[in-house]
Amino acid sequence: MERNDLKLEIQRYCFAAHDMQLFLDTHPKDEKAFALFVSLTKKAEELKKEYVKKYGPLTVSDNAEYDTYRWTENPWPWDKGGNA
Amino acid sequence: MFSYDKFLQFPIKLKNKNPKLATIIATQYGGPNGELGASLRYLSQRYVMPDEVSKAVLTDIGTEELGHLEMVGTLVYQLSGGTSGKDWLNGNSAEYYADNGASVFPQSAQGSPFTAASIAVTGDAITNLFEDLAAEQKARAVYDNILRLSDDPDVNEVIKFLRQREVTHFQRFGEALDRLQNLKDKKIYPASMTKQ
Repeated sequence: MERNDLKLEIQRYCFAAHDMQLFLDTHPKDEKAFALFVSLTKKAEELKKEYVKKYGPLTVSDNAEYDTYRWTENPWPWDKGGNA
Repeated sequence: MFSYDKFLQFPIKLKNKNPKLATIIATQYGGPNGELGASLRYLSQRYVMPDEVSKAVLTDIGTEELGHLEMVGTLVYQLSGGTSGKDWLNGNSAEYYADNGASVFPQSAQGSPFTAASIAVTGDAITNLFEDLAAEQKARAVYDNILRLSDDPDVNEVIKFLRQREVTHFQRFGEALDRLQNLKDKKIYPASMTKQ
């Protein structure tokens, strides 16, 4: 996947997982919601790994995967090229 | 503690510059019903909440609001970045430019800088949650006002997303309040006002 398409997929899954997180905060015993949260989170982590390998760090700790410090690289999220 | 993800919660890619609209949207950055106040309100209230659910809801929604602050800042930046003083004069928004240039500043649409006077932290769990429910409705109403003032479809897509989040947060705060008011364990919330 192209850089920004992959980022968009990450945004999708992270957002869905976060929305389930809020639901689980007030419904902690809902098993169906928890299963959905787990699958969304796992998919998000999988996509993030692929992105980090191909394009650059999404969190500063991702930078441990590289030989050089790449955290400062453009684009930042507010930059025009930073979003699909 | 907090860590930073190098991506927005929802993508923002604007095509058009519009300094006037930037100063209107800046009110959700640092105005009385904006995202900065929202995050400070929830993240400050959470310390004395008596039950697990309220602590989690306030922490997680307060954190999401910081992400929304970044999104609103991105809207203001992409609407105004690189514009000239003349653009701001032509757009009837020279007052903002005089103080801040073409950049992002936490202020209301009327030009008042951010003030914590627009948020309340009372130490009373029930009062806090009612404040939060009202805050979500006020933020939703301001996003509706912005939708009536903006005709930029790229902007409006983002505003509609943020508006919908206020509705979801209202729902979660309502559930947290309902749970607190019906708690069987009065040791957790012993105050007399468990029922309004």
